[in-house]
Amino acid sequence: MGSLYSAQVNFTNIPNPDSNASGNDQVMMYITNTNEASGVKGFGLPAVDTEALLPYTGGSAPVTAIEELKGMLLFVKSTGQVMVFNGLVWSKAFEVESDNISRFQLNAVSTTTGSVLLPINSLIDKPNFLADPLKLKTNVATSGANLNRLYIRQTGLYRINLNITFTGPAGSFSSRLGAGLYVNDAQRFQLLENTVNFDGTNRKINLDFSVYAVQGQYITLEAVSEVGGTTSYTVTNNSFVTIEKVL
Amino acid sequence: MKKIILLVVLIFHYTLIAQVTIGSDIVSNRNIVKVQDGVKGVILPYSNTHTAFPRYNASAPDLFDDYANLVGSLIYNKTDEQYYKYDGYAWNPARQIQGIYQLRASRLGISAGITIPCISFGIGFCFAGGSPAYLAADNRSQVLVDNLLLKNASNVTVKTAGIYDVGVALVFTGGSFGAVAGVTEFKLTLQVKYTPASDWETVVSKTNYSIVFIVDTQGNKTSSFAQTISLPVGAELRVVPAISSTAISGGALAAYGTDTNSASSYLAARLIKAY
Repeated sequence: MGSLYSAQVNFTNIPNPDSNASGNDQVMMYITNTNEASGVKGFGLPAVDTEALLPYTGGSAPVTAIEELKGMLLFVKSTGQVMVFNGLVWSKAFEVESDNISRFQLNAVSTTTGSVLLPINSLIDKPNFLADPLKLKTNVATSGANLNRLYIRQTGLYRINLNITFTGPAGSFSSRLGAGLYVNDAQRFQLLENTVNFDGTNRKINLDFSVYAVQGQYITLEAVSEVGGTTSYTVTNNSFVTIEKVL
Repeated sequence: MKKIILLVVLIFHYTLIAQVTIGSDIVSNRNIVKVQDGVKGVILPYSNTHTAFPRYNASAPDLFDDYANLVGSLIYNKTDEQYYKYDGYAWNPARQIQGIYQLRASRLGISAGITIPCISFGIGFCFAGGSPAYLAADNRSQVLVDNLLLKNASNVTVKTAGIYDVGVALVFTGGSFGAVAGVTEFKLTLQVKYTPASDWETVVSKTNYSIVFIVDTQGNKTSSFAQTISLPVGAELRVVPAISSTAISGGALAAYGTDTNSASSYLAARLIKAY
């Protein structure tokens, strides 16, 4: 029986699950849906009700690592987590808490109308804390309307911090500046702050929105000045947006 | 006939032993399915986009129907290049905290809104009035969970001392002014009562007068902010929406209300660090 499975295995009713698949793919097992249109099916992991029911725990914990069980996966229903066994102990297979924050730099942009959509640079630069574990910009075009968009990959509650540096004409530049937030191009929130000209040239705002967003929606952000205030200004690239998935 | 018997035996053998090893002829007696270790990996099923995931329902609050039999399912999403797992309510990206299982956060919907009455004698006035009750029942499909156990029978209190990130969003509804000249101020205030005996203290108050936060969406006004607060055990939280108007009104002045849709009106708290 075992030798039956020594080659690649397709758990499908189609002969070749991927037109690019070949024996050189280093893929052991394909579990591929026949096609997207006829309904997608997933792969069910074995599950236990609670963490206490995981095998090889408590009094049954092994003294030495069980080599053949390294990498074993089980889903725990009470916590909603996939657990992985390293032969000795179980740990979360997928979640890492610090992976809940994405941060991007903004491209410089100018306006003469008092408000301007913020271009969000998808550059990942981890030494400078620019990262996208929330995958908000993954496979998103870097030009056109998509340059301004952050795509939500999971329904939930998000905190969005905007740290924006403005420059404008000396002497006449508005002191009240802020930002607005759109969901799928519909304006939802605005916040305006009193700013100071902290270095003779620049003004800065730093504010937080709380927003509930649904998977597949996109968020765009804009810089604004107060009504009746300066309409011509520039947002410099010393500006950042930080998105934290709270819940 | 012999072939049928052989087939039946094989099937039963398979069912009873219920062990499959893929990539090797060495059967593991400790797993249901064991894929041979080595340089070849396993690719689980994929979908091009989340709208093709099982149980997708565009009209569901979280886009997916609840389905217990699918719990633990895994699928790869090519759009954002990551695995998703199904928790019985929705599909969650693999390496992110699952919303409803985030143990250090709560999101509370409004169980009872308030009315902010207005009167008009040429000049219109609206009156601040109370606080909405954030005691709506938990609803995992709407990501309304109270994992911090903030909700009591009649109020919302902190059970663990620590520094919190508190998010507030609210929609004001109604309020028809007709022709108006003057200033109408929408205000959203987050207040804390640090001990049962103390008075309410304002932590932050945002208005469209000094700090604009109101956006007009099809007649409704929506607002949102987030604030970090250090809170002791027992501290009570509330949000006070208020409208003050010194507008000269040429038309009727209707009362304002608070929208109870949890997508746009909620009180949320995340425990950043317990003390």
